[in-house]
Amino acid sequence: MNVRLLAAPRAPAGARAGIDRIVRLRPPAALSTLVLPLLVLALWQLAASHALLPVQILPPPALVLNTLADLTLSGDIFTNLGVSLWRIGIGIAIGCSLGLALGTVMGLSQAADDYISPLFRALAQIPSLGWVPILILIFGLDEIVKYLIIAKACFVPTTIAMAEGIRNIPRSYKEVATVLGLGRRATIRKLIVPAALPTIFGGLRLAFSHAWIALIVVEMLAAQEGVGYMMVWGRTLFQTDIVIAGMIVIGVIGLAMDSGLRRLERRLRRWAVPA
Amino acid sequence: MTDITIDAGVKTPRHGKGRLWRGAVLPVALLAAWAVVPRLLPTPHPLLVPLDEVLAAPFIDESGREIWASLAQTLLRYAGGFALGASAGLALGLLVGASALADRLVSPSFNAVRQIALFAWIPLLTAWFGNGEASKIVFIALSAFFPVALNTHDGLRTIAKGYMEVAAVLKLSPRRRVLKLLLPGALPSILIGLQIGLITAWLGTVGGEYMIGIGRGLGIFIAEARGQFRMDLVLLGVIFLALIGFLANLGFRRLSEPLIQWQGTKP
Amino acid sequence: MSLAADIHSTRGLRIRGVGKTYRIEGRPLPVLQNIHLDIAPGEFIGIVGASGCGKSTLLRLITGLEADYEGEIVLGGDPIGGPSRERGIVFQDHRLFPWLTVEDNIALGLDGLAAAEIRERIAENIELVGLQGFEKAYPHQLSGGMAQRAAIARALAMRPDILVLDEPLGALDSLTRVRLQNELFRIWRQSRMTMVMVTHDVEEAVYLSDRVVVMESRPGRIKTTIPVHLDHPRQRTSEAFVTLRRTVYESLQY
Repeated sequence: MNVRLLAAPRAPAGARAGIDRIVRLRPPAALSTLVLPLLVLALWQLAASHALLPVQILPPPALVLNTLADLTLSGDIFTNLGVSLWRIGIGIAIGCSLGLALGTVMGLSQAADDYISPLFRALAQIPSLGWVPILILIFGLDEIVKYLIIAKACFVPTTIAMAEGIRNIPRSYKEVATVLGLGRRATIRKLIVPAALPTIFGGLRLAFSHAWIALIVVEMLAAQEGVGYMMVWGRTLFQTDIVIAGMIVIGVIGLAMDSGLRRLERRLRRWAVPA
Repeated sequence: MTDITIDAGVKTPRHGKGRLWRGAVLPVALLAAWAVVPRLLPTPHPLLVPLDEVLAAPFIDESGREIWASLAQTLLRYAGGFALGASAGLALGLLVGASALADRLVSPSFNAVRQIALFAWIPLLTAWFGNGEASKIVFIALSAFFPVALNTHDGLRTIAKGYMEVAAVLKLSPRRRVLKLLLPGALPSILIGLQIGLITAWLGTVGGEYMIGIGRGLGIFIAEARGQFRMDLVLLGVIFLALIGFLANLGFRRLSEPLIQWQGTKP
Repeated sequence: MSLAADIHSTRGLRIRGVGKTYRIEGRPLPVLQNIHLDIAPGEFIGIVGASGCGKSTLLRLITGLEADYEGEIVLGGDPIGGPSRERGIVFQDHRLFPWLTVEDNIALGLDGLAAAEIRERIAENIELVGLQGFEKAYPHQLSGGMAQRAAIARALAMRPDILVLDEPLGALDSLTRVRLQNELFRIWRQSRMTMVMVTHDVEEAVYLSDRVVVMESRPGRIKTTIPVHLDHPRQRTSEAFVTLRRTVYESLQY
């Protein structure tokens, strides 16, 4: 007897192809990202559960997560984060505005650049780290030290980017402005600012990341609160779970800041002036 | 043709001497002030030490003389830590750059871990390795590792597809592919990675010493000077910090330039 | 000259029913359709056609840089596999490795040969393309025309059976281009190499080819093949030449 197999209703060809594409593309990409972290996590858990090392050195992943949750719930993370973000905000405001101002002067005036550039470059050679002990000696462990260090950290890249951004505007565009008879204000508004913007933004992104690093450094050395301090505190108490939790928070924030700025930069670069 | 500058009317000397003199004005003035002003005060302020005293300290001052031994220790650590970190970075970068599979597996995690501000590693490292040499060397290695790995990987990944096709058509053996295409093609990027790594490792060396605070080295010298309120020694230490970083960078650039002379002069 | 005896091609290329389709977002995009072409050893074939007619794709299939096609491509009786030193290619951008000298670039595909043999081949190909004196130069020191000659030398050094040229003179200025066309002709004559050249320049195709293959696009097909029965060296201004050139132009129109 012939058994007639009823064909299952088929999705239309287009939809099928679409689903195929999704199904085929997604798993490999996501899975391979997780392989290594999961492996590390597994080894970590294994080592911790067999107590190969004391808890002070290798806290189990669960404990770290717990601590992270505790700190979040108790608000500790947010308080510390708030202080840190406030500090970095002030530092960036000071450093970047000074940097933009000086960079503008140096970019627009060759004479100013001649006078200032060598000194600027020499001072820029001194890393933010070097300024820490100097400022601490002058101001003690006051808040102003943090602001100044962060300000210095973003001042240098901002100045350089601003000056370069202005200087790198292709001569050809400046010639067009001259030929079209644009006055100085119009030129600045219509040519210099938009053309320099992508370079400036790149410098700002760099400045932000330097500021972030400077913040951590100065908080680890000279603060009583903040995310940097949190880790030192955890270390002093021999609570490595707090230390690791702190590192995770720092990593995540660093990532968020950087990708946020990158996205903004990409938007700006859409109409970037080719060098 | 007028240029859009603030001082469009001022005659700017185009090259050479005129501009060099201008550049010297501020630094010279500053140094002179540094040497003279502290002496003008009625009572010497501990924080305002004249320039010449700062510069003489490593030779005259008892505590100042310690700096030489500290420097030696620091430089040794720097060399060792950098060698360790750079080799690890090269190895990982080559692996991840050459193998698409390794790239997919490792890169996301690498980029995530890279986000953790470098100095944030110190508490963890000291918890694991104590306050001795091991922590410092590992931290220096870590500082060098990230930029070297990143740029090595980049160098391999961005070798123009056109060259890869040539290698395919010429049927280059894997060994020849690596020796004649991948390594030289990636070399400019690798060198940049090493250059950046040298700087970050130097900052990691002195910074790590400063933070850990125990042992012998430039960072510790500076930390102790700060503890004793010796601004002159702090400034001395910072001068050496900046100077050695600058020299290392310069030296590396000079040494590596001949390696990529095939790039020719870019317009 | 021993050169001709050693280099010249012995095997012909047979392309039968070749087609290639790309898949963009699930939808098929036919790039080549039903290509038939027989190429005798030592022939010079010029391929012209508008952009998008798949002529570059055809070259890449011949060299094995792309696969996955219908039909067959057979070299002297053997179906081709992946890339092989029997089928050489010269790209529009010379793609000399910037970190190798001219002679190192030429020797790139010559591993496996004895050192003496390698030196000999370098020398004979340098002479063939006219780059004597520039053996130790780096690519950035060469002009566009010289670099392209070095690329040709690199391909010929492996003594392929067929040399495929993908718009080799397209990146050069017109004066250099004319000069290189003469050079290319001379190299072809001396080596008696089978050459298949894709070009946008109709005059170039008529100047060099034994046959001009005209392709049309969407999908890429051979529209017609125009034999060029003129004696070498050809006069670009001769009536016969101009007529042939016009014929090719007209067949390119729709």
